[in-house]
Amino acid sequence: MDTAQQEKPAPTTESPQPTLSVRGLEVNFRVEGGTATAVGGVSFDVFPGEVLGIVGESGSGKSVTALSLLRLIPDPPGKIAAGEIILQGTNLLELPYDKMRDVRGNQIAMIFQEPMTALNPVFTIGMQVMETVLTHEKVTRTEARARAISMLDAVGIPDAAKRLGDYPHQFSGGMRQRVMIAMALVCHPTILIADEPTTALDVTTQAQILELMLELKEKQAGASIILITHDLAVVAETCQRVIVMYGGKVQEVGTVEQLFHAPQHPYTKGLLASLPASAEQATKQKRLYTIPGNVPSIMELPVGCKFCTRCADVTDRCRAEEPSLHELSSGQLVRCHLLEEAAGG
Amino acid sequence: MGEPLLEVQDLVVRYPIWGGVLRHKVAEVHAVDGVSFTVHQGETLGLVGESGCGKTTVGKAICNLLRDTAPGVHVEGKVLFHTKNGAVDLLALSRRAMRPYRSEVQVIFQDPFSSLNPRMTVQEIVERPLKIHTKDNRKERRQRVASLLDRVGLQPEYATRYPHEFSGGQRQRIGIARALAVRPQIIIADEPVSALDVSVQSQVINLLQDLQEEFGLTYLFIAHDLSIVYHISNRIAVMYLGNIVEVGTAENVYRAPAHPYSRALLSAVPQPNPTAAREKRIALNGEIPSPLNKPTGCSFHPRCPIAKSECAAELPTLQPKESGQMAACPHT
Repeated sequence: MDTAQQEKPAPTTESPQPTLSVRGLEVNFRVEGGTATAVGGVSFDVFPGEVLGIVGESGSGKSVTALSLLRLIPDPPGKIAAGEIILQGTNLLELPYDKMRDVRGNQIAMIFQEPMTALNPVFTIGMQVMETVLTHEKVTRTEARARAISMLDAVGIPDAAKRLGDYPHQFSGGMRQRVMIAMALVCHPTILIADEPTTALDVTTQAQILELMLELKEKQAGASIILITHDLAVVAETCQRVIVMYGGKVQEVGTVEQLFHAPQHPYTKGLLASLPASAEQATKQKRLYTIPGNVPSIMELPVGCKFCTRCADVTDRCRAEEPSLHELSSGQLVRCHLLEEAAGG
Repeated sequence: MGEPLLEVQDLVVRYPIWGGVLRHKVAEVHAVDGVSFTVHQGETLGLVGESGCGKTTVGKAICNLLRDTAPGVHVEGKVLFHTKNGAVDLLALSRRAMRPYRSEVQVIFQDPFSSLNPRMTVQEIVERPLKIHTKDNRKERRQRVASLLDRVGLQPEYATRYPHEFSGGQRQRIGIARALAVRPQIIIADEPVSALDVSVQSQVINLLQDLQEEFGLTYLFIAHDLSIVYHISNRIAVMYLGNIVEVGTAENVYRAPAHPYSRALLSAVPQPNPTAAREKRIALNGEIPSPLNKPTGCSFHPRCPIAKSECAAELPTLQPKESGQMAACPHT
């Protein structure tokens, strides 16, 4: 991706020194009859202390981006084809395998969507939380055990010392997600990647888990969260900055206020408009706004703008030529020819 | 509000739990514990609740799917379906006697991936209810399928394709076409859009609303997403651990919930507005208890912020509230 390398990073709203910088990340998957580009040149920064949201629908490349940060893309069929992932000065993509293991769970930790499948059913949860500590730090088993207990306690598991010997199936969905969070945070990572952490949970449990994540982040200075979700309302309530992805590309970047109150990209606008009325609106609308068509599969992405097949304002230029990510006067980054033309005069 | 179309009376569903060496019944899950409600002609009744509250079981019980899918299940109560010639209790019908009513009560399922047979073409899937319930010949069926596909927004050429060739939204449209094929009066939609992408969700919701207007359909809309339920429903019933705790018009339940559980549920729903001044979220203690050992009295009392000592003793019944809805809580 030639344009990707020159793309400007996301606007700085926090301290200018990012914890993590992703530049021109490209991930391909080998499929029958060729390669499919799941992530096509993604660049962004994560700043200390922030909660960065990545939103997108299925096939937008958000989860693949998250997995690439930890180099967890199954290879084959996947391959990180290009780009840099720089964590505090080191390019993770150049690290040897065993050095990468030191990063995982220690500096960058991840929470997965399915608390049912992400925990190993044949080990006690105590074992699984302690394993993280024992792998990354030179501690005795007793110390690791104490750390596990205090962490499980911190994530709100009652009677943590007793439940250390329980197996994942003895926990409910919400409790399992708490165990996952305990596992992820027990080594105090600088970055926590949460990939749809509450999608499998009920709303009342979702509220508890999101609050817990934010609360624990506050306790550790400089720690950041990358929250990956399809749920715009969750983003609005938890994130400071948001990246909107579609078709493997970043389409819009901005602060959460900019994105929800002044969305610029036709896709972001459409997404927000298609939500049913929220509680604060006086009446419910008769019909919902719809974006026509379906989310394209990554096998059949259009040549030009990835959204051109569904955009109401599409031009010939959009179909032929992929727009670049450019900055608007508001500071938002948008990938759209029409907005670029309007801004450039 | 129209005439009553479907009346559920004191529905109780208990699933057995098998255990021991001889696989005998060791316990029972009280999935639905005395649920009554009425769905009126032409309306949409939204049934909301969290996982394990029994909302899906209610849907299955109505179309009499439980006895064939859950061996040993105990079903009690009545599901009255009102026809021109009086009411029929669907639960009392034999399999054969139920058949004509199956074309009146159709279902749309949540998962558009597992609810379509992967070995059948779209033509065969949509045509199947016609083969069973009508005497249409091959040509008539073909025409009907083509018009149904067109109506739900799929190209008639798609009829020869298989489900795996479609996206989630398109598959849900196929499911809707199949449900519509036999011209049902009521459609039970069990989480029809929760597996879909946001931009596709609104398309399916609009389609359901258009079809309702066009064919005078009645919907029982089962879902956990309150904002969508509010959008599509005329009335909303809130379930918690096998009981309906509140029922009323969509406006009443959504704007002025009367039961402490509905209040907590609504306050937990995130709003897509980062700057909205929001009320303090009602934090619930703990999690939903297992329906295996339900709390005594009001099943919500261990988590309720306004619980009193008598709540553990007595099961409250639905009673009218000032704002117009019915709620099963004497303390609000």
